[in-house]
Amino acid sequence: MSTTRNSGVIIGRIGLYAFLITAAAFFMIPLVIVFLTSLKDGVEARTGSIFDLPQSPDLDSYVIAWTSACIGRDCNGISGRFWNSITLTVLASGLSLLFASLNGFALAMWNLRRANLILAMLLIGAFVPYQVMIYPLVRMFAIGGFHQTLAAIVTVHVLFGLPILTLIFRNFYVGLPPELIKAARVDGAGFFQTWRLIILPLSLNIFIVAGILSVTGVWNDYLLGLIFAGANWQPMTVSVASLAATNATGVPDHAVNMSATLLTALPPLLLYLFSGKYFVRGVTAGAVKG
Amino acid sequence: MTISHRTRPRLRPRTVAQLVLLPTILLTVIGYHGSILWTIVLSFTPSRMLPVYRWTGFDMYERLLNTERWQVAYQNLFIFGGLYIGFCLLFGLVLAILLDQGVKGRSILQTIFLYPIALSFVVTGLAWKWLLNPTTGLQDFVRSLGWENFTLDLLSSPDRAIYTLVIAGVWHSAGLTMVILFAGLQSIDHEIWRASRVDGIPRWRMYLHVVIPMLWPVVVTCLVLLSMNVVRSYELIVVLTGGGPGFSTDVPAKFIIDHYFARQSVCLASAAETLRLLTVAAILAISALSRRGGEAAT
Amino acid sequence: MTRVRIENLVRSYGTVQVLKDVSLDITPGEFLVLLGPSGCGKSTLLSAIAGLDEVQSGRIHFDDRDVTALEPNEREIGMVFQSYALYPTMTARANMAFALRVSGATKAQMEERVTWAANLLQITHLLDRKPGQLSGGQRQRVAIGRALVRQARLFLFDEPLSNLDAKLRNEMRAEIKSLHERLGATFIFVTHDQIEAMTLATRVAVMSGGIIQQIGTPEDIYRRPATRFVADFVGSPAMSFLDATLADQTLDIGPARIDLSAYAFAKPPAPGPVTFGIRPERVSVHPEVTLGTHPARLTAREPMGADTLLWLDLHGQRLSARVPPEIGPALQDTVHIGFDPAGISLFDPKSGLRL
Ligand SMILES: Nc1ncnc2c1ncn2[C@@H]1O[C@H](COP(=O)(O)OP(=O)(O)O)[C@@H](O)[C@H]1O
Ligand SMILES: [Mg+2]
Repeated sequence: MSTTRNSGVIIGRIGLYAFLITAAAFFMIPLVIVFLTSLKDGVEARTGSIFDLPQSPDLDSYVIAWTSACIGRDCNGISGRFWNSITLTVLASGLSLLFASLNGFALAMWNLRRANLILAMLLIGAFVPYQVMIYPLVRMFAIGGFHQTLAAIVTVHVLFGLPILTLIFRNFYVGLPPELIKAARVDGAGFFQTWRLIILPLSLNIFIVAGILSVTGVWNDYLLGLIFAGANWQPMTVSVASLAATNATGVPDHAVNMSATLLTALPPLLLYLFSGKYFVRGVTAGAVKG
Repeated sequence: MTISHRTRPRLRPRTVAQLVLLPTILLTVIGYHGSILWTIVLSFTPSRMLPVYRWTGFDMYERLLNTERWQVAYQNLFIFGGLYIGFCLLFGLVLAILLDQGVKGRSILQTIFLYPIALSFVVTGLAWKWLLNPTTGLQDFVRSLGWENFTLDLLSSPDRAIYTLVIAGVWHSAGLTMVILFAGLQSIDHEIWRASRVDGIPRWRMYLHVVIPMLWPVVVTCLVLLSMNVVRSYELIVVLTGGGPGFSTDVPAKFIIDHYFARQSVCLASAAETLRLLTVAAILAISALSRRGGEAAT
Repeated sequence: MTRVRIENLVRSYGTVQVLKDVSLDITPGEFLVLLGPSGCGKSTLLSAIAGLDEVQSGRIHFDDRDVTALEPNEREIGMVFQSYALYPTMTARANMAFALRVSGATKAQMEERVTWAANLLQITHLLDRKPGQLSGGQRQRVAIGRALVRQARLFLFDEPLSNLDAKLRNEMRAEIKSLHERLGATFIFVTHDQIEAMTLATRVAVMSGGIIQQIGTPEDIYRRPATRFVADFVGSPAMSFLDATLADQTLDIGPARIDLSAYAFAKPPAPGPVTFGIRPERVSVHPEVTLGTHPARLTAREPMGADTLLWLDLHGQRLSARVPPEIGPALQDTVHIGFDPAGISLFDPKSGLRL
């Protein structure tokens, strides 16, 4: 009896691993072929199969993508856009996190009379498809005279990120003992002192979690960048999409395109690989209870 | 020695807390609530590129509902949404349950299943477009293996291009669903497994009749999350199919953005946006009800 | 030393009144204990005194200063919380110095005050540890130290001992009492534990349902409870209550007649039904009939070590008696009980007020 049971178990295990490995292949293949293509040269990428290994793998396509690929009529590569994205992400995420933490602290720990109402208002912001605010904001910015400026795109990102980030911080702070704030008040610390000296040192983990959500959100955005950033602050996602669409020579160089794609994907991918369980908490934090 | 108090009058901390919230309240009221209201108002006007405030009643809605492109886009919301959500949940649940069987290399596998969520839909779209490219992509690869007549030209077929969106979407989000469901599985009391062994109940029956029903609230969470992805979906379509061939893979978000900007038909876009918001409201209402229903059942 | 005067304080959450018109006058240097069951509004009252909570109406005066509208830190108080509320990322030293730091004191001032408080509480060797590295009792000391550093003249304690185990609790109780004597400051101490109240207080204020039922010395509270609630809440084992009928100078519990000529009535009594209260130690139990005793049935014996508690049935009503342990075993089912006239309390059965 034990042998039949054992062999059943073994077959089950084999099936289990076979399925898991197939699934892993499904998830890996797109990334692998993008990577393989990026190591080829233009001709090889155009003519060979995507699954062929590169004959002489090199990073030439990356260099071209970085320094001289054409986006529209601008042939300086995507390096400028990379720095645009970095600037946008640092500014937008930094401001969002700062405000979200202060807001969450104010909402969670000060027994404000309308706290629940404000929370409900923010919740609407977390659920409404963000495209609804695009046209009204374009009009407002145009009237205010700063449409398609750095200020405009950063404002939009902050506005877009604030509701969910505030909720994340608020839910974390609600779990802290309220007596901490009472003690600080007896000790004479004001709102900002309490936040900076007592709350902030306790918030490192939640800053990482919310930061991951915010950074990947801003970095990966396409539509807001397309509409609000203008030519000067065009983010990498927008340029890589148009790099693939337009091509100066008429003949698409897939190797360069895939290099640029991979470069665009790299920062969030590295963040993912190195932040481990924080990343999972970050991307699921938006989901929890909502 | 006594502690001297600052003589400078200070705001009370609670007042400061209220002041701190003020900018956010203003921003959300203007940015979200104001935008929603304005959009609704504009949907009753004949605005083209710029807002015009003249009441036209439900004319725009009538025009919208008679627009074939909108009909396709709205239908696609449900075809794409249904398949995307269904496969994400199914795939995510299967993977979560399999990973729960004490497999070796679980954390590596989990890393592999989840990484697409770190990528933007733009990158997702570009990678899949490359993979499905008929001349050098999968089709070519399979033909080179000997199946000369193999066709996988999904992208240029109006009927089937939508499935490329589903595949790429599931590839992007199944890992997230898996992680959320896996956390749900892990949070289930381990005593029930011991009890099931005492009672001699097979594992698969436990999953079917006990565990999956217990996961219901987590499933609802996933449903809401995935639904929001569907309603918002824009980049993936723009990059992978461009809404084409024709407008066979159009979705409301793309319809709306195109009409706001490229086609300068603000009134029609606003009407479409209003209908989309109503759809979101309906999804949220249903999920709230089903969550309550689930709670009542347990 | 601060005199605290509270006048007609009202605090409600929504429609629920948690403090109903509370007035209290606390003399300088007093150790006042607020005693009451949990949920009766003690913490709310303490928070109001500290300025942590707004009140709907009423005034609070410290000496001659109306502090009702002042922030907590402007009231010159020190406060110790039930959960200690130590700042988890700061060392004990930084915790204690925090108030001085935010008020802009110099390093030397901080060092001096922290050293003084640490010496007083014998925690000098713990100053560089963080709260997570301290035991419960040590955290308690640091929390007290933090309150001391501000050199307040009024100290507030919200159930500070309830998170400690029994032995440490006794130790800290004695320590807080000696601290009060050494500092000479006014202490207001909240607890639901009557032993703490009895041992620490110069005066006890018993609260229930947002109302101060009685305020007096521990002995007063115990001997002459002002309401049936106080009589019931204070004292363990609890006072027994029996339905009785008051005639001129006597009291009838069924056929048993009790002489009341020694009872000090609060106001001239009116004949009619009353509640008769007697503490267990004021009931004497005899095996044989003696003068002024009443026959009762013995229903249960509960040895408690130092004493034995006897449960008795007097004409269908239950009461308990606390007797030396050697008496218990010798008793038959029928005993004869007597009541010490000085231990009797009478209450109006409707209002619960002492007669
Ligand atoms: N923030 C609040 N909101 C509503 N009710 C409260 C709040 N804080 C306290 N209460 C209520 O006030 C009553 C008194 O609370 P408290 O003063 O904490 O009692 P305790 O005597 O145990 O310290 C309780 O019934 C409690 O439910
Ligand atoms: Mg309390």
